[in-house]
Amino acid sequence: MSATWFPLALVLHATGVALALVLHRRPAACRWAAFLASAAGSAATFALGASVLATGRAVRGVLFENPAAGMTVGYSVDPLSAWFLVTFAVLAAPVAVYSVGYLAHGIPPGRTAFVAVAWNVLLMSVETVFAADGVLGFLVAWELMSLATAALVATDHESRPSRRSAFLYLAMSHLGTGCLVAGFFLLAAGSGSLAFADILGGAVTASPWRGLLFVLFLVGFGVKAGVVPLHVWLPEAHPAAPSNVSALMSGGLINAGLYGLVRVGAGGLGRPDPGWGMGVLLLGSVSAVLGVLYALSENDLKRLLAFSTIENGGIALMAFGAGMIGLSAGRPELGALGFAAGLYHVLNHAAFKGLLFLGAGGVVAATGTRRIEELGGLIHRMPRTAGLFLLGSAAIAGLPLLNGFASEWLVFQSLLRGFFFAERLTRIVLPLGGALLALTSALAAACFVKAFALTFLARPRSRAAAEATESSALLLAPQAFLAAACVALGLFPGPVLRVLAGVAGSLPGIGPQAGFTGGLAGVTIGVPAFDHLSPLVLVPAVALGLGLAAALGLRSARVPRRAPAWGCGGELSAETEYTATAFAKPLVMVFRGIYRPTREVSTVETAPYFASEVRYRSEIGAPFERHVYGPATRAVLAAAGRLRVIQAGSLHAYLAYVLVLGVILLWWLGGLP
Amino acid sequence: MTTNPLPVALFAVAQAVGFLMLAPLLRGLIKKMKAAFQLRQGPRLLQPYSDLAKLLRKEPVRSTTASWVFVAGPRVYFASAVTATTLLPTVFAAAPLEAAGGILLLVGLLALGRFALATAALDTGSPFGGMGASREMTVGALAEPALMLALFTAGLSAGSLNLGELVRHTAERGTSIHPGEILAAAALFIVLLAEAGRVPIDNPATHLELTMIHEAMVLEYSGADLALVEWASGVKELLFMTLLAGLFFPIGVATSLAPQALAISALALLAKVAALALLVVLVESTNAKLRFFRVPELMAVALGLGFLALAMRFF
Amino acid sequence: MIQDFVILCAAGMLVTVYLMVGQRALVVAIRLYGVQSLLLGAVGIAIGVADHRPHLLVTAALTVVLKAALIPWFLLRVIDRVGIRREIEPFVNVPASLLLCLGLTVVGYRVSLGMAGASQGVPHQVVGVALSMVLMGLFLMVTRRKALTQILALLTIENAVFLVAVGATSGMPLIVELGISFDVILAVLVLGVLVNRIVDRFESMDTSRLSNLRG
Repeated sequence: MSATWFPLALVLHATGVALALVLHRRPAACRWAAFLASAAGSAATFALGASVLATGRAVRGVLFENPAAGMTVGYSVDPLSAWFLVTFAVLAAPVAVYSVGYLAHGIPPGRTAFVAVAWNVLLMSVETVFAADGVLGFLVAWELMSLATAALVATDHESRPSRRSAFLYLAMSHLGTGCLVAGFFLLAAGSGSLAFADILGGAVTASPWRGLLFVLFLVGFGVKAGVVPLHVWLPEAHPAAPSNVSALMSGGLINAGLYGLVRVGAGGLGRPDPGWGMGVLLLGSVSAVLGVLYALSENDLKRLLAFSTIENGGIALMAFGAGMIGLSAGRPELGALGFAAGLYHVLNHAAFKGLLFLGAGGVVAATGTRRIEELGGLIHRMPRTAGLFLLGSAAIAGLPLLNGFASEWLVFQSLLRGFFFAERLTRIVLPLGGALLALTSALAAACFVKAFALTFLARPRSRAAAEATESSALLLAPQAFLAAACVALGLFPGPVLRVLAGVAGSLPGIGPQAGFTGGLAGVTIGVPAFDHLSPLVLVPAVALGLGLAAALGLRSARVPRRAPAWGCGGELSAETEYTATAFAKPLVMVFRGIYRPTREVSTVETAPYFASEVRYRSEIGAPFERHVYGPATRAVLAAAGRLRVIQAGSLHAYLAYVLVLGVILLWWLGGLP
Repeated sequence: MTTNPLPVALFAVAQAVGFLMLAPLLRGLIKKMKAAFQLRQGPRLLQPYSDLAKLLRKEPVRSTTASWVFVAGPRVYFASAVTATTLLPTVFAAAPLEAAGGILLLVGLLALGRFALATAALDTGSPFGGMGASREMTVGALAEPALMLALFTAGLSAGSLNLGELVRHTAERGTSIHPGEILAAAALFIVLLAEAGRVPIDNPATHLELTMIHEAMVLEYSGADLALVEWASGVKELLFMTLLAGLFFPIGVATSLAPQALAISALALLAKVAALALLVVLVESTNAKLRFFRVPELMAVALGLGFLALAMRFF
Repeated sequence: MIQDFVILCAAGMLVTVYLMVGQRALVVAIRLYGVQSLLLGAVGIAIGVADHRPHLLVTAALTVVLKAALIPWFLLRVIDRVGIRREIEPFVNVPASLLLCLGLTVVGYRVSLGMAGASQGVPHQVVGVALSMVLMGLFLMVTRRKALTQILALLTIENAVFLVAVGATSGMPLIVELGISFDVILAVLVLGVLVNRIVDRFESMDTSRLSNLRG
């Protein structure tokens, strides 16, 4: 029965596409039909994933078969795929509902059908990526996913920055896909089969190309996961897309890259080398720290969230790296811990990042601007959005009782637990990773204080913010759902970890492990216990604390007096408020070695001796664009310029190329028996 | 949970109340000692209690631009500090809510408090609130990793991140002091100064807004709101001192419930805290407050000490 | 005997291509193409009769009608319309072209030697002829300027492919052959229209001037 759910999901999405095309002249009907179909497809995917996770047995099937060509495209939903499918569905379903409301005003009505079609195609291809059982199906779905995403990023194609973002996305995506194709075909050539069960089942242990293969896959999947230094497309593409698409991209599409990395790293190519795990851990740490640092310096709300996605991807990678180090040292229980931590973080990230992007979308729709410097005071105009955004910010900052804390806690466990067994080099790397994770977590808290407080609190800094209206229920309900998910995942890590133990156990080279136990109350790591976490125990304590605080405050006054804040004798207004740039400035100064900020101050004097205008311009350096991608692009263009000579423009020249090539080939092949 | 929740709950409540009751006394003691250094008489030892009682009676005045976040900030800060105290072992070699979590949860709760207070500070629209919040988050961003590294050193040497387990391990092992642990204690002391807002990082008695870090964040609070913030800050200070004392100088901690052991342990704890308070006063009296952009350098020193501690302990 | 007949026809086709290379009047080139297609039809009929493949007869008849009659007529009409009757000086002059074509023939034969015994029913020389025709057709396309000559060269290549298909395979399905024939018709129609348009626009059939359009 559950074997038919995957094709059913694909059919539902295809129905969405068809409905969108049929109803393209009626935007409202188009939206409702296409996105409800999409939500239904996500529900089917969720059911499938949940059933596989519950039973622990994989579900397989065939989508398309051509015996004459020997080509089969099938799907195989094992616990790992099921986990990613569930994560994706948990995000995609509410975002689809949100889209119905958001696209009413977020995009021109004529483009609704386009977005609806591209959306459903995107969902179909992502689900196939997670479930594909062979190279062919995977690569076709992967490419389709990239194309659909690029189409969605370029929704606002009149604007040049949007076009540029989509182009950058496509270029980086193809760089990654090229590496993947090379990697897969190297693997297939070695073992003669295109099925994942054969080539990624841990059988390829002794090939001399293993290191190269791992690097190829790391680059290929790393581009999609937004790993530094392959991340340059992410801060451009995610904000350029409409907010519902951004939510899906940040919370769902990153997972495609992470899925691939887990497949390859968790024993897919055999036991990982120690260097692999350390490389992944270091890349993850760098991504996490740089991601959050750049997020801190951003004043565009969606770009801030995009950089934060890079940070969270880095955290998941750190966990995967720790898991790989565990596997390479022959300690599968530590491997299980690392991978479980990373997978938990993937789910949590989908929940809170989706919530934050949907909230940001609501703000952008209500005020028309993404810039924090033009927002403010929205808590009075949009109270529910503000409350939900606050919850999302608290979750992403890793504050206890919410899901961000739970998964970061688990990542810390995986980093610290592995400390005792490993050799010297790993012993340095693991606590370094732990320190960087602690730094990241603290910086993320600072970043989201900025994001929430400067957007929603104090006074509005522009007319648009002063006149904003609350989002409709259609936009708020999905956010409430995701917020509830954040709370649930934070309060009940035990059941989640029980499921994750099964998922990690299904990975090749791990097997069922008792590295951690999860009950309803909480989680225990290690036997004997290395650490516990039981948020439920803390809840009554926190409640009592709050109650005590409330009780203490009761005596003072029933109705507190309201008065304007003291402005040192002057008047406080929107201009005297602390700005977003100012908030982040101390941290920018502390980390100026990384940021390399530049500063330009110029004064304009009209009357002699009195400056009437001072211009201040400050910019954060973009090191990767300037030092890596700039020179690389210039080199490629220079080489292409030199090769341009071949393009003679003459028909005869081109035909001559064909003739010469034909003669050479015939001569060479003709001589062969 | 297999154990009966009632004794655990009572233990937790008792410990929290104990911290709440003793925190103002610690404040008063530090003020008195600082005054003694300056050859003054200083305020009464029990003055902070009177101050809190006075504030609790007064009417809070709140800004017209402030929302519920402003009101929630002090309360969440208070609740997080009080809850954090139940994770620490004090007189007995076990923490009441040990099962809830260990080092990471403790640090997380403190971060929750800081987040709530910083967010609330930006709610009034006053630039000082923003400045205070920004500076506090900066110092916190650098102090938290240092704190974690120091605690990890202690935790890893005991083989557990659970604070109760840690204290039990060090109590059993005796007082063999490893140089790495001294470095970790030093790092933790610097973090204590940062979290308590003491010289050389912050001057708790300053009136100049542009030199404030913590005080600027809470500039707009009055009445019960201010009382909650002050009390919670005092609890945090006592918490850090207890943590430092318990983790690195576990002499005299009771491992059984015998009244004698508990009494000795309580006295020992009070003595340790008093000694730490004296050390804090010494540092405060002999140092000038650092310029704000020198504070990260000090925190970097703490971070370096923490890392060095870890390296020394395990190589 | 049928074999010899087939070889003779194939050789005749090769001769027509040489003649196409060697002279400049477009009308004659078109007529030569017609003769070539006729010979191809003859080959088809011979093999169809010898190997008892009735559908080959249908194909051969189609070939004769379409390629030996219809297409040459159409192309002659195009020439009338356009009014250009002679090819201008090609890139490679005629004696040199002929020498190069000899070289290409040698290449074709060398490949066919490697296939001796591999083809059924048809002697490998025919395959060699066909390959040579392909190469020479390509060569014509490279060195001639007029679009019409290039069309004829394309058609020559198509004939050569057809020759190999008819002989070397066990017969293509009728559907495929019909499809190919109609493809050819369509291609010629389109190309004819294109030639008209090119001449209207640029007043010349000289495709080397198209490189002025390069961006």
